[in-house]
Amino acid sequence: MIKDIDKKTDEDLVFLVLENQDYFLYLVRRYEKKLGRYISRISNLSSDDMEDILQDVFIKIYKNLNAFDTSLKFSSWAYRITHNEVISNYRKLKNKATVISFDLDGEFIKNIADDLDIEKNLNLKDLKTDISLILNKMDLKYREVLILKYLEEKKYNEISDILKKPEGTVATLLNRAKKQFLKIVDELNLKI
Amino acid sequence: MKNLSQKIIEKIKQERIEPTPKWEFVMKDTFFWIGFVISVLIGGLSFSIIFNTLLNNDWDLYIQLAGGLTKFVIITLPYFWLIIFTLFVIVAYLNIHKTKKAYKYSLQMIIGGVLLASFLLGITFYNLGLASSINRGFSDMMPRYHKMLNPGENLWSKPEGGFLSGTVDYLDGNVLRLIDLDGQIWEITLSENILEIVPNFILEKDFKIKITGEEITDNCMNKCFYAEMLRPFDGPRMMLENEFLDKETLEKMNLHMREIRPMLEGRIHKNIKVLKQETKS
Repeated sequence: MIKDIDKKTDEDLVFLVLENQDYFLYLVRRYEKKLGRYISRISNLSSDDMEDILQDVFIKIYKNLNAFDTSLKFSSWAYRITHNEVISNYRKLKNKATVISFDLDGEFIKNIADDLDIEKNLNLKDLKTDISLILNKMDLKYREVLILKYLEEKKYNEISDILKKPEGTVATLLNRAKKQFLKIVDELNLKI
Repeated sequence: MKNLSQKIIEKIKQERIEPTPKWEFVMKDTFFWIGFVISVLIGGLSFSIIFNTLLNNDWDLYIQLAGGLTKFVIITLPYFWLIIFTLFVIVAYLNIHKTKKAYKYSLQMIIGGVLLASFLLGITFYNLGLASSINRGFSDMMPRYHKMLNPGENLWSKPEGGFLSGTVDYLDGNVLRLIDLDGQIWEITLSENILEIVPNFILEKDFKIKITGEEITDNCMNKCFYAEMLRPFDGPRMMLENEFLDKETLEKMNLHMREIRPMLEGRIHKNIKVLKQETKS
């Protein structure tokens, strides 16, 4: 095995995997937590179902390595495969869905509160609870775009590559997601 | 989660999973690009025929032919080619949509691009004379469907209303014989004022023409028609195609025209004379 494997870029690792499948282990290790968390955040699935999907995601990534377009970031491509896998399993697994517990950090609260003009002076713990409640009630397509923007901290072009939608559509989707977010705030009579 | 990475590697090894070869992805992408190019080409051809039909429509006769502009437009729109055009714009979109980078562009942008490419190609094909050749080819190949391909043709199959069309069957001396779209044979008498023969238009056997005039029912053994105006079936603008002919060919055509005009005029005078005599008697 190559020394300093951790210093290799994702793209370098892809080329190495194509020569020797053992290197795939390093790619999996780099992304299993990120992608696992992403699946949990968007899908409300139990950890067993999430793991099954994650396993399928990595098998798909491995099978399609030759289709990886180096003009994209590997992470965007991996997130895209994950998104597709969740969507294709979503209807099937929807009934098994549980309430998502979002690991909302202070930075996320600050970002979303700034963008949505939410009162930041409220108790952080209450705010976290309320935002989690709202995200759980949102449509998948809106919840996902908010998660990609504020939790996964992806840029517009990356979200465009992940969702395979033009950047203009991503902006529209984000706008609608914010509107739905505020609508749920009103419906639930939340004081944020 | 702890052993997930290990589980995945084991699964890959146990099931001998291999990355799909690159050529399969390249082939898939190429397939969609080829599909896109073919669809745009067919779209361009359809548009050239639509353009040809609209440009060569008998706009100067819309009142006589249909009674009004709206009715004339509704009757003469080339629906078959409009459907083909729409269909291939959709097929082009579906193909390009499956290529790698297409998602970066909006539906409007892709459809706009496909339409623009089809329009530009269509105008080029029209200028190259492909539109009328294809239209004629389809009409010849599918005689049963020629009315569906060119709905305006029906307007020219009303001899009782003064409109007749068909193929020149025989042209010699005083006789112009025409086979109409239903296969009936007509003897045509040309008016002495018949000056609307399109410049460079050579009247010869197997040529499709449109005639306005009057059906003659008296003193006529077969079907007879008195022609006041005739023009090529593909429309008055057909001679535009001649812009692409070389000078020598054009001169030859003009010479031919000069040669046949006295003959046509002589024939007209003779026929008028006969008609007058017959009317007197």
